[in-house]
Amino acid sequence: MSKGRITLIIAGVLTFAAAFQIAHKQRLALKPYQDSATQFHRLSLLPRGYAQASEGEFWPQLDPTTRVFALPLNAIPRGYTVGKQFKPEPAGHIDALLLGKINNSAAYTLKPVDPIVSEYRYFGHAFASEKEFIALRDAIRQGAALDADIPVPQGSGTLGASKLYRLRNKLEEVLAKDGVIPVPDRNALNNIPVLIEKPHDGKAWVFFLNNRMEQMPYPGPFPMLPSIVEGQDTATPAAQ
Amino acid sequence: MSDESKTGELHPRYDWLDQARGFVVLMLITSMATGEFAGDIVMGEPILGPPMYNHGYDYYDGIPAIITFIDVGQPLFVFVMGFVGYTAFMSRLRKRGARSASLYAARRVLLLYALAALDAILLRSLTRGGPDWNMFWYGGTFSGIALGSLTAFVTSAIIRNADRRVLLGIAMMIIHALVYEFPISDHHTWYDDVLGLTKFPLGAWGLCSVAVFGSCFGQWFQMDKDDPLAGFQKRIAPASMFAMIAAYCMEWIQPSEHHDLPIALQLMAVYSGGLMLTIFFAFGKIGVRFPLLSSFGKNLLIMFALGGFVVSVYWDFLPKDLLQTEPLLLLLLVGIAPIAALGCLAVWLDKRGIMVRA
Repeated sequence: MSKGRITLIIAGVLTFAAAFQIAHKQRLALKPYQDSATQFHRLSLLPRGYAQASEGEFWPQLDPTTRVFALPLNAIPRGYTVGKQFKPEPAGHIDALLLGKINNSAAYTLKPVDPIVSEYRYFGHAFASEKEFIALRDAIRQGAALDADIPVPQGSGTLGASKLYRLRNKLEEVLAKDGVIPVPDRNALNNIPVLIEKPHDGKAWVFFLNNRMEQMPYPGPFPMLPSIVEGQDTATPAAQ
Repeated sequence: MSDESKTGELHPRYDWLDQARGFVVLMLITSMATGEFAGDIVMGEPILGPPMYNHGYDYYDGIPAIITFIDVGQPLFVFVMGFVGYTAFMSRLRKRGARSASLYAARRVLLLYALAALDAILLRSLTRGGPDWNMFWYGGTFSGIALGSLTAFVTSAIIRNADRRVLLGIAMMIIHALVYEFPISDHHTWYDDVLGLTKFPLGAWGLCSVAVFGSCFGQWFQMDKDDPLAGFQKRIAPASMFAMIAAYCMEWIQPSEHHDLPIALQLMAVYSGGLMLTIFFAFGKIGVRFPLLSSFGKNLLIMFALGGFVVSVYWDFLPKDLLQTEPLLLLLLVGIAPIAALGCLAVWLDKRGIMVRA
């Protein structure tokens, strides 16, 4: 092989290595974003799993005692992901175990996926604008029943209806049946936030009722408004 | 049987090559059995059959991907298709003209797409409630092989010199590696799904790269008509060794994964293909042959398709509970019986001179 050809091959390999390194660093830079998204995604599975198992496929209702915009931890089953392999003499506290003959191990520990109340906001009812959110907040403050749709003045309810619907799967069918939307269209749920992460570095993950996840700037467009993301919780003095 | 026989006037048919093709299709049929009985590690469902002869993702579909020799089966199949396709296509092009060669290429690709339609449209609709169009166009086994074959034909016709065409294959691999690595393409594994990146047909692209290499190896084999060893000595063996070294290096920085086919796995298919062809060529030279492999190799596509469609129905009738406790029965009913049945059919077709060519 000629010297020129060897030089060409070495130059090609080095160019590829440089391009690969740039590509790798760029993908690596996404890891924190990816990790936060994965954590939020896992969290979003908790109310979704609850809805699939509940009668009428209702999503969890807000805690009737605290009445705060948060997932009711006592009402939804705790979530876990697979953690370290279980050792006969564990060093720390074990929350839960996954038992079975897995990769020749008797058990794996499970890491809890905890929706920390102060870090996530969950709304329980469907709203698609700041006006509808304010109607929801006020209704809850005034002691509205949390286990059902909440009647509100015409135009202040979900998508301009006369009530704020409890979050449920296939809400679009109920909305169409009630004449709020013309036909059952899942796209109608595209702008109904279910879960919002506490903003970090000017952004936060939002989970919508149509199972869409999006990282949005804060403050930003609906629902990333201070009134919704950081508004005072809803408990009235009496309820507290 | 002679080492070489004529198929019409177009090109010689090599028995050692049929042996190699038969070996590849046996691997694929075996993986259909082990895949069916892969169980579920997490849920404790028992695993029947040898994991070594199954795809790694059937046990663990995550990061890092678990790769077995079977995971190289599909790209190896495409490599062989590129190898034999080169000879079949170019001999038609030279001796019968562009129209005949184009018709041959179209027939092969359309037949593969017909199989893809059976798999991704008909079977999917019957078993999963609707067709899978991505699987039909580029994501399935048959469509991947079809696109690979098409690429081998087209690139062979456009770039007639294999030493130059292989540069295209290398360029395609480099593009694959960078598209896979830059945060612009979604990977098969779930971990980056949340990023919402663009789906890129990485698997199909990888198969096309391997097919280009297969066509180059096919041409190199014929570089000296009087001395078949020349192609092995001057190109196939060195290229296989370079591919092996490159695959080793790439595994460290971009490990293999079955579905997206990173270039480590593509290169593994290239060097496995090169070495396998060399071994079977050497076997042919010293007079060692396995008749069943030749029969399988002659009707490669029909064996593969039958393995996929018919044998998969057979699995449903097997007593899994009994097989858990009776490994000899497992070997007999799962490991041997389907291969034996398909082998009988292959030999029957072979004895009657029937070859269903795509």
